[in-house]
Amino acid sequence: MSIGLITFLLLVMFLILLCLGLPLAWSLGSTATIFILFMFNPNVMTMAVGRAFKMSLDYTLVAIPLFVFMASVLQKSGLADKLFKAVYILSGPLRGGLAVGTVISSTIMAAVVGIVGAEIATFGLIALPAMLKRNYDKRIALGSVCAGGGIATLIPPSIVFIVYAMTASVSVGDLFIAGIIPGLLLASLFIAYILFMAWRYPEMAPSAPAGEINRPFKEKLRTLKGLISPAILAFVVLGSIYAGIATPSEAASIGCIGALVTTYFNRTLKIKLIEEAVYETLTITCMLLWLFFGAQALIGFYTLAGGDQWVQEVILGLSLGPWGTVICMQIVMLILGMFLDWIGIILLTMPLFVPIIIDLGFNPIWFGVVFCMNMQISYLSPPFGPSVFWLKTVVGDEISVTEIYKANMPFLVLTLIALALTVAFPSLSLWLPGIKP
Amino acid sequence: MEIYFLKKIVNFIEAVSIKIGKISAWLIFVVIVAVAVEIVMRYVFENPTMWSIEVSLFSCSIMYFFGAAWTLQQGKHVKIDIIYGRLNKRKRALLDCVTFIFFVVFMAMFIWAGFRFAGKAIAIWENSGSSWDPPIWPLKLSVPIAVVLLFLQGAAKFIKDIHLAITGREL
Repeated sequence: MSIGLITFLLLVMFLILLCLGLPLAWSLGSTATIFILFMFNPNVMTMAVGRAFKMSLDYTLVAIPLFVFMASVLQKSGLADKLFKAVYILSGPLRGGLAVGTVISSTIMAAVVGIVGAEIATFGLIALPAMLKRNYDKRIALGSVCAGGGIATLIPPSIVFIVYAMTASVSVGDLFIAGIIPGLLLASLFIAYILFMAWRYPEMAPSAPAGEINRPFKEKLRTLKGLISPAILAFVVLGSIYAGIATPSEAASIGCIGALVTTYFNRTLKIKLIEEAVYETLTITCMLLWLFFGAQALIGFYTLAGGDQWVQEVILGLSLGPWGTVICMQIVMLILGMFLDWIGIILLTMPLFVPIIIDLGFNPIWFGVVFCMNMQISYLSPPFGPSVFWLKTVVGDEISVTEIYKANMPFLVLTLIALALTVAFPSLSLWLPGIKP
Repeated sequence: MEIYFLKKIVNFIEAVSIKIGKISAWLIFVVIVAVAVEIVMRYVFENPTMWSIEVSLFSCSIMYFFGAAWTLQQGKHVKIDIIYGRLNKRKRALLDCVTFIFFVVFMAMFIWAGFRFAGKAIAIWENSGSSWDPPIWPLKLSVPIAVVLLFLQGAAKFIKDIHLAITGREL
């Protein structure tokens, strides 16, 4: 069998299983197993198990359960509520202030929470009703929650970066730092857009009624107090990685302890909260890890069958030149992003793409940031935009999925602009970690 | 009568999955403490420990493998719902019964290969080979055992699905 045919059959089987509703992890694993049994001998399976075992002992991955636990504790301790309350009071006088505030609080939350889903659900529950009550246009309100929540993929500590770092064997710390400027760029584009719309069409995003604006100064100061502990936490966690004092896993462990301590001082630490956070951490971690095991087996088989070289030859054979190849890869990922989750895309494409990228003389760290930008788009775009479905689960029947997609459109365009900028100017991502582009 | 017996088996397997999953979940605290101790020892006492990294790694490994069954029991392994999401419960159960065969192939080979992999380690009572050098064969043996539990949880779900697909009622 030629490798082209194998690739085709492999994809067909994998996609059929996936569409039939078999979980992604088992779809990957069983496709790999069946092809291994047909093409090689069962001993290869022992090798695959050995690799899965070795992967479970990867020190980089220790950061995943730790960051998930930290996020989970902070999430359940009502940090988002406090953040938004402060924003609500401070942004009163500004037209479009609540939507801007939503983007800002999403970005701040992103600095301590690495998971997108949880963030969108939380802000969908607290920020959206507040905006709608103040007669914000639905498009602005929905769009700012959805697009703002997605920024968590780019602002460290992002789980997406950890997984990419493992697959591409680059430093998690460097990636974390590299994501900061593009993440902030994206947030500022969103904010600029909201402010422009609010200035041009005042009825879309009215400011607060006069009675709500004139809060006493003391009250404003008090709301800021809730922001101090997460700010310190984010600073310590990211600062220690940036300064090279701690590995991401160590920083994550400090973050967990910090999260527990701040929750204790805010008097929201209860046994029930810890229990829920511990259990949630296990579930999310196991879900992720079994995806890794499945993908590892499939990619392992494919490499053994010579698939990686074949893909390299095909892509380079198109002779698109370095930039043409990068753009071609972006398009492939955009298309995949319509159907697959980010993690499936990383695990399936990166082992094949990253060596080509390095061959062409590009930086794999930069490519990781570009990938995250790209995933940001797939989060917002139809037909399978995870952000949209997360938001839909909390808004109920009053707002349709189509409405959310429509609201996302302008933000989608802005993200495309940010993607183009990140691709065109590698120094946007590489300057902060101090890597020469 | 037989249905009652099946229900008992399913409940028992699920109870085991939940219990083991919940117990292993608490290992996250071992990880947090082990990593934190390492930082303190390195920076405060300038005397890095020999054991902390491996303790955190082993705890994580146990979490990954022994939590899988409970994750499955909660239905938290991600799937794509392009078609699946539009079906009613009974049709989903029917599809799950079909795809269960593929799950079995993966699990069976994983378990078989896992025991062979562990067997090699047991044959030489293998240690980890680090400076602390703890035995690593028990950890390797725990992998196929955990996957057996995962497989049993899958089988329990299969029994429930087949009952739902045939009778239209939950078991």
